[in-house]
Amino acid sequence: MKACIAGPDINPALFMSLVVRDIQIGPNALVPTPEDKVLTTVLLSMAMVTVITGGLLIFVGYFLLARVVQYLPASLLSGFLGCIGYKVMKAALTTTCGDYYYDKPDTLMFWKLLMPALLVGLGIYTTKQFHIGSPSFTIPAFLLIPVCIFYMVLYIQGVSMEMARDPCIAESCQGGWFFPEFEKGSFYSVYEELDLRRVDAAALMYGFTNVPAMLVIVIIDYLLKLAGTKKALRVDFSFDHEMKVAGTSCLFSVLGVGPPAISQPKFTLLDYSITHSKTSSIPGVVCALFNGIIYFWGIPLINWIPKFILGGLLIYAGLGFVVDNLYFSRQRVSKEEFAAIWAIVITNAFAGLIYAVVVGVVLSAIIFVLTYSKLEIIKSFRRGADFESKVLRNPMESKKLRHLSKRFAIIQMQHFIFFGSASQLLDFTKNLVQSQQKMPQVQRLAYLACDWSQVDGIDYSGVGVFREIVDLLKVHGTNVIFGGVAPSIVKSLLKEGVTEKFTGIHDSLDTAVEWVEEQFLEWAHLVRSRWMEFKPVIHMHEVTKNIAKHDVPKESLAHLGHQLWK
Amino acid sequence: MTMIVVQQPWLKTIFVARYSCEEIGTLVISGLINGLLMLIFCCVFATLIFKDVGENTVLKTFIPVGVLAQTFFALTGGL
Repeated sequence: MKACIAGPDINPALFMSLVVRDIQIGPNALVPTPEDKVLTTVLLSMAMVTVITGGLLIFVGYFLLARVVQYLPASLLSGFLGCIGYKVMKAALTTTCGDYYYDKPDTLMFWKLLMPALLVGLGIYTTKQFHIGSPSFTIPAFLLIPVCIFYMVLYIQGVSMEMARDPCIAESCQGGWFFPEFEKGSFYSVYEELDLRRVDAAALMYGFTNVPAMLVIVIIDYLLKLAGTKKALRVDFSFDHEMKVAGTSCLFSVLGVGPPAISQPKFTLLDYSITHSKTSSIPGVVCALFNGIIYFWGIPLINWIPKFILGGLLIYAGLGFVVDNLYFSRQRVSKEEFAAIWAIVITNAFAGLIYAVVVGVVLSAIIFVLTYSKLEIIKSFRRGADFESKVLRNPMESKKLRHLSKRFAIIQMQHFIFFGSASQLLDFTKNLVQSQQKMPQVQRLAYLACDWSQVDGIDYSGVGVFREIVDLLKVHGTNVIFGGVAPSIVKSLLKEGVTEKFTGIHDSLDTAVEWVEEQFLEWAHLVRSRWMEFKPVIHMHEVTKNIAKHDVPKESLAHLGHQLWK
Repeated sequence: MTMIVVQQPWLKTIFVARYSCEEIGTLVISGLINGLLMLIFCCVFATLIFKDVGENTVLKTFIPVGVLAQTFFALTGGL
């Protein structure tokens, strides 16, 4: 997309901070990484992470894997993004209040340093979230006006830059507003420092334990951002192509030992709100050239930016993740999923991201099983008399079938049959068998046709339950027929030997019903032929019985008549 | 509407569409505002990454170069 503005992103920066922290600590906590090796190892790790991220983005784009994000549970995604929000907010606190005050909320200094950052962060977030004013005005205003007021206050109070830059350990200090003063940087310093002989391989490997989680989060977050951009700008573009573009720019970024980074929806939307253009690449080029000038010039702009501006921007970036995923997500997900999101974030806060990943995957699996097991896998149950095959039969046969189909039923199944849902079918069958026991033998079900045409699949446990169901019905004299079974399901049934136990598998429910009808007609024919053999015997028996019955009265009447005639 | 007539062939590749002076001005201002904000974010991310642990002080002094490394991506990514 042409009107996209790209730049560094909070997620890679956050994970890189974890990598850098672990590189400094080293694999052995008692022996930290030597100071002379830290910088080179950090720079090499950054270059490697950028290459890996770029390669992965190109891989995802090339193999059209962007749609994979749709298969991830919403609770897992929101949980991870909530973790990012938590970490960004924590980083905002340390950036604004410094390492000494960030965990001392009982001190006045903590609030004195934090309040301006809260004003900036909450101000930008609120105006953007509730569409108050134009972002082209509100964002610069929330950054420039506090800075102007801040410098005016410093001037009025007579506080010098040196005093304001003081790390400020004492409560009465007027400093703590800036980072220590930096010298002018030169872009070629990174190449001077990148001496591979000074790399601590063990620390590098230890730091890389954070990279897999980072790759997953970056890919997911980028796809979500692309989806957000698409929705906000109402333009159509290929996610896979954007992934390839982002990957390529990451690979170019390695030349300057830059971090992994992606296009930025917030900047793209800011640009759109100013220019109302979805097609012009000029703002993106100007933005890049502006940063290019700074890159080659090396001016340490950070010396004049108060920490509360940096912290405020982190609060703004983090609030989006926190509010959207820990509050507004309750409107999109179920109560169980919402609880899982909070569980992931709390686990991350107390035990770390790796444990949060494990908790998230386990909870998502449990929620999936519970949700899916609640779905009705029995779509319908109807008597055979309500369903006829498409075969045209003569009126005599149709009449017979209408009578005999009372001993036939159809059960239609749906969704995926697995250990969580198959029990519904078993319970239903048990109830069916119990109700059959109360009926006369001649009215009990002779055939049960199972319609599989709307079943997505079956797992090993589901096949096992089916074997149990078929056995139960066989014992009670009911034959089971399957219709509309997908080839993959037939394969599973054959593998587990279930097919040996029932009467047949048919391509569709119609052919299965046709087969049952043929069985009924054949049975009726057999009964009729037996009846035809049996009827003359019955007739003879009736004659003999009548003779025996009426012989005595005849004899008696004959004797009486004879007496009368005398 | 005033039309920009681009004489140089290489410039034509950048300004494919023809814009009025006002439009060009808006586009450039938008780019500058975004560039400045991006630079501030570069500072934020550099301070986040180059943070010393324990007694180390080596990374803190490297923050300006870290900011430049961040801006390098803004350059390559933007182009």
